[in-house]
Amino acid sequence: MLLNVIRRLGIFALTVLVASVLVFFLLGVLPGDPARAQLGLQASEEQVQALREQLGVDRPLPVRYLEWVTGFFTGDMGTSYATRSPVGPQVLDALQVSLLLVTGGIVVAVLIALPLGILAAVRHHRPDGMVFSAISQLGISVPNFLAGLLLIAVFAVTLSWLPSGGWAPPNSGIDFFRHLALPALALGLVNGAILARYIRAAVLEVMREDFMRTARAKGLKPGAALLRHGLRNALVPVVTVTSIEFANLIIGAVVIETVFVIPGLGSNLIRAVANRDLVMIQSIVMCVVILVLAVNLLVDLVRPLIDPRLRISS
Amino acid sequence: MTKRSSETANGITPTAKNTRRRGGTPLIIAGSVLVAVVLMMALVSVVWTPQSPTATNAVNRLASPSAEHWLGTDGLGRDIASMLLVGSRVPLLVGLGTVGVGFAIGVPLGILAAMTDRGAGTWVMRGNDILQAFPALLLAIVLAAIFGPSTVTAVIALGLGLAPGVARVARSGTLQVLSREYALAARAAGRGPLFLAIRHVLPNIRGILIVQATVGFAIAILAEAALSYLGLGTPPPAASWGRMLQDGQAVLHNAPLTILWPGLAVAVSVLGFNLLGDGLRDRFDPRMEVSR
Amino acid sequence: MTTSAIAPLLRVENLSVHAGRKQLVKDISFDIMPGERVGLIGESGSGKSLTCLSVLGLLDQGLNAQGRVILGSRRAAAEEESAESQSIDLLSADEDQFSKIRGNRLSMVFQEPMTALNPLMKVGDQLREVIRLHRPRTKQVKAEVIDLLSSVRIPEPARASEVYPHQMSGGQRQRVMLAMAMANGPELLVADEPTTALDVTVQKQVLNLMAEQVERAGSSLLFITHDLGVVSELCDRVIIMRQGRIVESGSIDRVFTTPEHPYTRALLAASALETHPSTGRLLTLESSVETGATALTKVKEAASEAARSSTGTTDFDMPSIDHLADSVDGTDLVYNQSQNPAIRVRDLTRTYGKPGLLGRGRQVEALRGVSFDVTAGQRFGIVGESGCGKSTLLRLLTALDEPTSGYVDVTGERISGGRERHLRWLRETMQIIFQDPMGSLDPRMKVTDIIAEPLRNTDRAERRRRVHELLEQVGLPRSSAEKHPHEFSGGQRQRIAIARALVTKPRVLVADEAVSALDVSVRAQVLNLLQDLVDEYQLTLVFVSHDLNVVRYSCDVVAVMHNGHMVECGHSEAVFDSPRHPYTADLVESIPRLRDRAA
Repeated sequence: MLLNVIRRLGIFALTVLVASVLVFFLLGVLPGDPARAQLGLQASEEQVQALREQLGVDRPLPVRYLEWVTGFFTGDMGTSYATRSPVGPQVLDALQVSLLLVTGGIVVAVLIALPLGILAAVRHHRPDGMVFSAISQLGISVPNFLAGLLLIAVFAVTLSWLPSGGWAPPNSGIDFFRHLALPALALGLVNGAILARYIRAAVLEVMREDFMRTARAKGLKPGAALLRHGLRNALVPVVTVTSIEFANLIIGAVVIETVFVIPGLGSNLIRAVANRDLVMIQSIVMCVVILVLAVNLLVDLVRPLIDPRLRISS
Repeated sequence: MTKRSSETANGITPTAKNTRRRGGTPLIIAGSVLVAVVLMMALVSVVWTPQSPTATNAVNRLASPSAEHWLGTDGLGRDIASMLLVGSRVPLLVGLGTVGVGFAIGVPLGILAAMTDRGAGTWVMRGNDILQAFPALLLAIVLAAIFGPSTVTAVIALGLGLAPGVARVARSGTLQVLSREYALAARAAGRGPLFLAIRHVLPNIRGILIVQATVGFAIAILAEAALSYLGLGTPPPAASWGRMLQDGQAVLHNAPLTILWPGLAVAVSVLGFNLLGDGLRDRFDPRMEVSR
Repeated sequence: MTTSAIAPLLRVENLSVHAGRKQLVKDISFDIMPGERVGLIGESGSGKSLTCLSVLGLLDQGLNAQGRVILGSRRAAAEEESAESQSIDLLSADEDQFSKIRGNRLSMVFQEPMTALNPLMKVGDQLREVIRLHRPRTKQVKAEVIDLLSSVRIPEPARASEVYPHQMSGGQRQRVMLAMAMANGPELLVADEPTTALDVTVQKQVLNLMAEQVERAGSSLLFITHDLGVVSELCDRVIIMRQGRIVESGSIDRVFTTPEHPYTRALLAASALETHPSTGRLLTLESSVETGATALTKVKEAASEAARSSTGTTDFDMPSIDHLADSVDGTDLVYNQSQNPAIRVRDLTRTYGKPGLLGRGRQVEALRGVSFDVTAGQRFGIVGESGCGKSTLLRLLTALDEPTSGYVDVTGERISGGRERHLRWLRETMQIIFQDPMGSLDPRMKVTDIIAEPLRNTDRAERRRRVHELLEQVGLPRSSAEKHPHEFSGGQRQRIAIARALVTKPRVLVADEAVSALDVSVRAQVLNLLQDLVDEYQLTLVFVSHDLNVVRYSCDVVAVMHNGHMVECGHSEAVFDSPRHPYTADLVESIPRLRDRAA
């Protein structure tokens, strides 16, 4: 068990390392000369050279990579090309905001997906079950930013119940939740619909299993059989897809933050792209990738807890 | 959804007859109709639009539907109906390109990974796992940052993002085929890996690949809309639904309905491809794995 | 209830099961008396499983049962006027009523022990659940669970109750299922092919246990199976079903000695692998149903065939086969040694898995040093239970896998360690027939392409000619060539597989459980065909199977495998009649036999 955790952590660390190389070369090498890009074509060669030294891009690549990686993990992520202010604190603040939003989205998604998926499966041959299926089918056809816009149109513009955007920190109490509600809902609705379809498929699958018939042969009624034997078994494949689903949700948050003008990683990323602020982009992309990998890690660690077959017997 | 009855019948007696049953037909029809509507919109827009989709009119802003402007005008006074028609081209093109790129990379790699399970195969899948840490949309944003926003960068990024999923599906399908005795029989008959891949593997995983393609199409349309909304998709003046939504948000307080039409267009086309995919999946194999 | 002294425990009256408009079980009626053990026998599609699922009310959605299934009133506690002790029509019972009956008065053991237990729940908890469900006030459930496990002879029952199903073997899981079914002392135990998925030695143990448990609890038994041998050892009475109808029923002794219905006669003959008195060919459904004139022409035909095949078998000298048995594991003998064998195998080992870091890696020794020869024209059988290494051996014989050490020669040439392109000759010399007639034919290919697959450098007309020729030889119409595999039955598919194996006119044919997936009546036909073709093509046959009877019939020489070793080898009759290795003796002893009808 412990061995498995250590192994998983090792794979996680390795993957993060490889990903960091990818991110560095993608954003640090491909775009060409950042100094030239920043100063424009009119600048003289001396000016460009001076800026290169100032930015440190004149040194060999491996050195720059090592410096960037160590800097990234110690919070010293370098200086923004655009604002000339340190990137680290900005990214960390944004990360905090994004984490709160993603957590809210996951909570909403799970709260929607569990009942919707289970009901759609259990009642799959009845009209109401088909309605549940249809709802989730519609849900996955709507992009989350559109869901966000529709929620704004209804709850902010028409009904004026909630703010149409912006952010309040968690210590601001009720205001925090008022600002979190719509974006978390927009994120969770769409991803919840996708998750609901997986849950429906898993529950349908499990209802066909032999051990469910055994449970009925023992004298359990259908509902009790599903509750005691079915759901936990259905959870196994669902948990496996959650790693991809939650990764989607994290990326969805990038767009949703723009819709609701939330100062998270996503809106910072989009702004940085507009400014061609590569240092900023590098750090944020790395953050998002680590977040996605961390979710994968978490799912990998949780799976053996649910399924004893995945525990390595020693 | 009459497919359920055929599914349960299959659960009882897996006879030869049932393995070839025709499931999912209503879903396939519904999906095909919606996809056909979007295709028609794109085709019509090439030869005709009610008004110019790009002509602005500062006077006639946010107009209500009329004989001249069927669906009214947007915040710059452009004709919404015409923009809607023209806006269908980019998502379809991006969808086609994404699926093309994703399959050109993913299918050979997936089959290769399965057929050389030790050694090269494991490395392909390791690389795949790392690529999956870069979701398609993130990749598209990064590439847009480096090369500037364009249709081509979007297609390449989304295609690269789709490829790992396609490779995974192709690999699991190939492994399934290889585990069957007919694959062994072909090897025992002295047939090499290429023959095996072309004559046995491809025909037998064709079904799951077609389903994966429709799902990929739907994902690409969603992602393209998001990119255009963020301003990182196809640059103006080419109209796209995503940017119509972005423009609509600016005037949301005055005219909440401006986001309705492009929103509906995106949802309908994604729904069409999703329904088509679900129907085809029911027809080919209700239990098979699809990667989203 | 009638006034007769003993009322039946279960009375099935005019039961029909429909799937849509299709009638799968057609108006059947039978009784089961208290304490009686009834065998319900039929081949696939006979409706036997549907019948027992209707009794338990566990038919899948979309299936619809009509008629009456009466469960009699509870024998001992008849004066207790509770709802659950009165007689009840199970077809009209609701979930509430069923939940009190199932697992309590009626219980069931299913076919697949690997999937019938909840994989995420400890074995002890699954047993505890069925006790708590019907006897909620039971004290010391834990002790009772351990008692139950030890009553089905699970070793270390206290520890076993704490493990998950995947940590148990198939036989152990089926015993747990039995313990679960017997936990509340049911009046009727329904068992649906409970030992079909198990090895013969394990099957024997489980059957004995089941008989013992049913006896002790005084329960009735409804035992569903396709295997007549199993029934004859366990049941008092049999019911034979075919295509949804009961064709015959009666006491075991009567039905097995003087069967009335032709189908029963045919089934008995096919199960016992009975041969025609003059031709030596297996009796099939058709041949034993036929009577009089047609049989006579058959006999003539077959007599000439027998003459032909006997000339075929005198080409090589048979009698000098040593009957050897492994005395101590480890000293590896060379079995069936000969001068110029078609196949020579020496010290063959195969180990799967890699030695991991610090030697913690998992290694499985599938094959631990096997040496034998197969002479040209010999019919060489390899028997063994699952995990004995016979499948690994087969893959090495056919160069589909590489040995860890040792070698295989075919017709004097080394095939181990050779590159695939140097093995082209082997792919024509040696062909394989696989077990699963569903899986061994590519569903997307036409039959003609399937059969012609091993042919290389052959023009279109020649391919066509060969395919037609072979279709004829395996007894399929020419029109089959343009069809796809799903349009054929299991037996027909196996014929196609045989045609494919013979298209290159090979010298060695390897059959991997080639008839194990077929119904008994079809099995006889395919075995006959195989024997004819072996004679006609003068093939060397290597026949791998878990079914000792089939190997005994179809092979001259048989080798027994156990734990990756070959433990005994010799003339088929000699090995089966006087086994020398204790494992072989055990194996032969475990074969369920039809009762000796001569007695």
